Amino acid sequence: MSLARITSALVLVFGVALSGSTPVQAEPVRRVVVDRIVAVVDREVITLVELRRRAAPHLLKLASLDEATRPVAEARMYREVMDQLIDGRLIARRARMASIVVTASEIDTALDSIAQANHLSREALLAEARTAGFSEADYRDEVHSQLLSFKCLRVYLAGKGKEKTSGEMSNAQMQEATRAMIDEMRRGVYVEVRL
Amino acid sequence: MITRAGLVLAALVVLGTPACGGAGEGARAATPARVERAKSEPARAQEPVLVCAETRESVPADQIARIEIHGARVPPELCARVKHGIGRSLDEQRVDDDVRALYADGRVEDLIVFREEGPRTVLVYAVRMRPPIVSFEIQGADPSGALPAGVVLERPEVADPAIVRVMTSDATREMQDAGYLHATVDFEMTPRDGGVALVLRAAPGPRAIVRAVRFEGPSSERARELSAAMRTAAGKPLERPALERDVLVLQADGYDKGRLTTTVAEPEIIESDGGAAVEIVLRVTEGPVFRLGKVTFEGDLIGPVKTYERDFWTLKSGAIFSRTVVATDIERIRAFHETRGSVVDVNPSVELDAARGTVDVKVRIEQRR
Repeated sequence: MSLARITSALVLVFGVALSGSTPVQAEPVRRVVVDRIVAVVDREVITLVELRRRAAPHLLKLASLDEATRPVAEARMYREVMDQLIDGRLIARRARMASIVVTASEIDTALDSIAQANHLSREALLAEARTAGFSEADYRDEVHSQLLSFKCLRVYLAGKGKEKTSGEMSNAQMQEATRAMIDEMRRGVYVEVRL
Repeated sequence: MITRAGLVLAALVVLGTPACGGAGEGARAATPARVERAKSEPARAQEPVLVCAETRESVPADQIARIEIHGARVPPELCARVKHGIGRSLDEQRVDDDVRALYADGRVEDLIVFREEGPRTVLVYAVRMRPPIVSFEIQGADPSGALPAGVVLERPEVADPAIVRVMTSDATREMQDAGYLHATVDFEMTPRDGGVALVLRAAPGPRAIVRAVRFEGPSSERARELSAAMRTAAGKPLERPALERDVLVLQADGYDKGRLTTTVAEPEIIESDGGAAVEIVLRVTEGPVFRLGKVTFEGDLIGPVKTYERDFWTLKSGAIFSRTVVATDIERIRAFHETRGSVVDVNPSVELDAARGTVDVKVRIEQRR
C-alpha cells in the first residue's frame, strides 16, 4: 500500500467520523489531508506527519519491490514504524521520569563508534545515512533514541537486580530485555492506535 | 558507557538490515481498558465553523487564505492554539505543531487537518471534542480505599481515557501495595445521553498475609535482632512500602554496626494459597566490622581543624563506625556554620581498608554559592 493509498484510506476511515463536521461547499473543493492523530500514548499524540517522516527512508527501500508484494510489505512497515514510535514515546516518558538524558556529545561519540565499526569516517557514515533516506538530524534522532533506550534498559536491569548488565548481553538477550522493559512500561500507560 | 555491541546494533538498524526489526508484532492497541466511541454521525449540512483567521486580500492559490476549526462544541479560545498563519504557503511542520497544541488542550479527542483547494485555499482543523462524563460508577470491592467514592478526575467535564487510565493504574498499584497482590482496576467508557458513562471495575483478589519472614545469611540470633526492627512480620498483611522501608532499615542497621559492606538483596516474595499467604525471604550479607581510621576536614572551614575534631566530631578513631553518629556529627558542623552566618554543604566520603578493618572519612565542607 503506497503512502498515498494509506492517506486515502485514512481519510475514508477517519473522514467518516469527522467529515460530518465540515460544511457543504457550494463549489467543489478538493480536500487533501495534511495531518491527523494516528496514535495516543498517555497524553501525547503521534501524528500522520511524524509517521510519514519516520517511514520515508523505509519506503525508499521498498520501492524496488514488485507491485504484488509491495502493498503488503508497506502495510507491515507502517505498523512496525508505528510500534517503534510508540515504544520511543514510552521510553522517553520513562527517561523523563528518571531524569535520564542523552547529551549531544554522547551522540557524537556514538556516531564515531558506529562509523569506526563500519570502517567509515563520520562524514561517510552520514553520507550513507543520507543515501538510506535519513537526514543528519533524522539519523542523530535515531541514535538518540537508541542511546536513551540503552540507558533506560541499564536502569531497568539494575532495578531488577539482574547480574548481567546490558554490556554483557547478546543482541538477542538485549532485544528480549528491551521488550520486557517496554511491556512493563505499557502496563500503566494509555496507548491507543488510530490507524 | 554505551556498549560496542549496542552501537553495532544501532549501525545495523540504520545502515544495513530490514527497516524496522525488533519492534514487535505490529501496531497494538494495548490498553486493557475498553473505550467505546460514539458512532459516527451522518454528514450534516452544517456544523459549527469557527473562523480563526482570514484575509480578504487576494492571495495566490497556493497560499492559505483562511483558517477554520470545524466541529460541535468548539470553544473559541481554541483558535489561540493554531499558530499557522494566513497569506503563506502550507507549512507542514507548523500544522503538526498545531495538532499537538490542540490535543494538549485536553478537550480535543480527535482531529484531522485538511487543505481545501478551491478558489481560495482554506486550512481546516476538523475536531471532535471530548464528550462529558454523564455518569460514574464503581463496581466491585475496594477494601483498601484506593478508589474513594469521590474519585477526583482532573477534568470531569471531559472524558479523557488517558486520565482515567492513570487513575486506575494508581489505584491498582495502591491496592497491590496494600497486599492485594493480584488486584486490578479497569475501566469502561460507553456513550450515553450525549456524553459517556464511566465505570471503574475493581477486582482486589485476596489480601496476602505474611506467613513467615526468613533470613538467609545472618546467624539466627542476628536474624531475630533484625526482625525486631522490621514492620513486616508474620501474621500481618503484606504491605510493600513497609517492606521497602524494612530493606532500608536492615541496610542502615548494618552501617550503624560498622558493617559497611552490608548488602540486602531485593526480598523474594513466595506466594501460596492463590496469593492469600506469602513467605518473605531476605538475603543479607553483612561482612566484617569496620572501625574508624583517619578523619580529615577540608574545604571552606571557618576555624582550626582541631575545633572541628574536638567540638563537633564525636566518633573517635578506633571506634566502630556508625552512620547515625556520623550523620549527627555532620549536622553539628552544619549548625555551627549556620550560627556564623554561612550556609554549607557537608559531604563525607569514605575509604575502606579491608585488610586493616578500618574506614577513613574525608569531610568536605562547601559554602553554598
